[in-house]
Amino acid sequence: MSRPGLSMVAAVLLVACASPPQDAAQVEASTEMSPELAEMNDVSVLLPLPGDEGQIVARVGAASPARGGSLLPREAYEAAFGPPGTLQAGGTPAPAPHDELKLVSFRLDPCFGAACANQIRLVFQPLRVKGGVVSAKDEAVHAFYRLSRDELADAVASMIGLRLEATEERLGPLAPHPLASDDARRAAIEGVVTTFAGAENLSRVTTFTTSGLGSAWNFSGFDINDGQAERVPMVDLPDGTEVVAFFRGFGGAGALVGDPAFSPRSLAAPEDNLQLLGSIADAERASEDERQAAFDALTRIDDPTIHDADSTDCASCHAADPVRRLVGEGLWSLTPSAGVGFVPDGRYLDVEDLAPTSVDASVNLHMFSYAGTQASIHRRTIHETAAVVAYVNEHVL
Amino acid sequence: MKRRAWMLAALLCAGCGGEDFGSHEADATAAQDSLNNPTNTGVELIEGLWHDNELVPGEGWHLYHFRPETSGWVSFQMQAPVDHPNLWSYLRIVDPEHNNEVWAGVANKRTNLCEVILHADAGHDYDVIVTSQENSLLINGETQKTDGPYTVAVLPVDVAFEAP
Repeated sequence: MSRPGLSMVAAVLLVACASPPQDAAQVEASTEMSPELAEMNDVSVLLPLPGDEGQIVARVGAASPARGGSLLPREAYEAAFGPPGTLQAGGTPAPAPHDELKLVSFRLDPCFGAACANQIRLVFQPLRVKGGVVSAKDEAVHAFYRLSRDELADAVASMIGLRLEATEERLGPLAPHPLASDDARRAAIEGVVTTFAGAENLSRVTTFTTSGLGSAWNFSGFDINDGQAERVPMVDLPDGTEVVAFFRGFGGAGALVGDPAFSPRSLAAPEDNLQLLGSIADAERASEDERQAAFDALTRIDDPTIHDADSTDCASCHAADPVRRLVGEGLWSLTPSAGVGFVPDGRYLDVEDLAPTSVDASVNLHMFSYAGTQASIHRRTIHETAAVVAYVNEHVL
Repeated sequence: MKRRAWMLAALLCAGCGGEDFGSHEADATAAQDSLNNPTNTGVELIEGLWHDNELVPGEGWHLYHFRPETSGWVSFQMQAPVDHPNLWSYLRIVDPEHNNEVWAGVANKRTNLCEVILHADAGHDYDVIVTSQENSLLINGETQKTDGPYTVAVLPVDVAFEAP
């Protein structure tokens, strides 16, 4: 796809990313965007939940035909996590059965991790009908697929094309995809996924499960090479760590009273370690300076220009949003220190594009998937997506 | 601080205790709370990770295993649903090599959390028995039904004791 003609203005930096700035009109007035450029919902797609059992069955899942085989080959999944029902380290739960995994979201990324790899990432969850309502279990499987730069460009262009077929209006902030409530359009979007991802280019599979009667989340992952599974090294954790967990404690759905909150604890340097704020008790024992340092670390973890999956452990990254809301902001009204925080490239975004659309009052570790019926989109995901939009518009399309 | 390997502190428990079996050769894990057949889950607990399971009538108590990599104080915890009518958390930690054990049953049914703290030795094997304290024999000879879900973990503890 050739790069659309652009009439760029000077970059407008959207400093406040959680809520529109006071002078949003001024930002918009100085921003020029073509509908042929990528938007937030072109590169990060959260599919709406199905409406009933029949729609669940019809959805693309791990076993669906895709590039070079099934979308997530059972053999690779079981090479990583064992046969169905296999408990993981410490008796943490077995990941969901392969047959139950349904695609709920995907993301296109031109620069994943330290290797800055072109990639498409999928999120699968088991879906169920309870009381006539479809919901997702509080767990997820993430699958990672290598792409060439040309493939990534084609995938992004395909998503832009599907949007332009439906509307020339901007789709706004990340949310369940505005166009995917239409079955035909959703199927076309799923077709983009199965075209570019599958057995042929699967590179990694990770999972998070829930234990502690719903109070703990356990993360682990494997790299897949030639069908062989090799455990993903866990950054800033003791050698040999197989599972890293976040425990909210038994104080209720909206309280962080786990002691310890993170197991094992991160060995990251203080400027990159938010874990002090993972437990109210730990935060209370800390000094004001220590709490501020941990909050700045949290803010850095939410900044895709500083941290990625190769520089932050899974539990810290997934817990950052509830820790910020419930402890940092909720109990101590903390804000980032001057100069700390992600600054999006305003050339390609409306300030409204960065607005959060799902604010969960409970402890919700889903960064871009569903907790029950609640669509969950963490701030880190919004920031990453904004960075991807800028990158693909600048360097890929 | 005087410390014995099996000396435990049991918190949040109505009843709690420890016993040194001395020269008793009986397998402590099989001699206690053995209503119905015990079930060895085969699960090796790891510090900080929670394991969920369910007590089922006829299975008896559940046996887990713990071998710490480093010596230090740890907290064994069992949590059952707070609104459960008859599943009240109960833990028994057994040191088979030394025939030592300690147990604790929940006191506060509003938490249904039972906790046993002990100093565990690196490389040493501990049996962790999980059951309900409501598993007694009823007047008619039947075992009280105490089925239901629970979760169990071994958690690291930062403790400091000062001599008086």
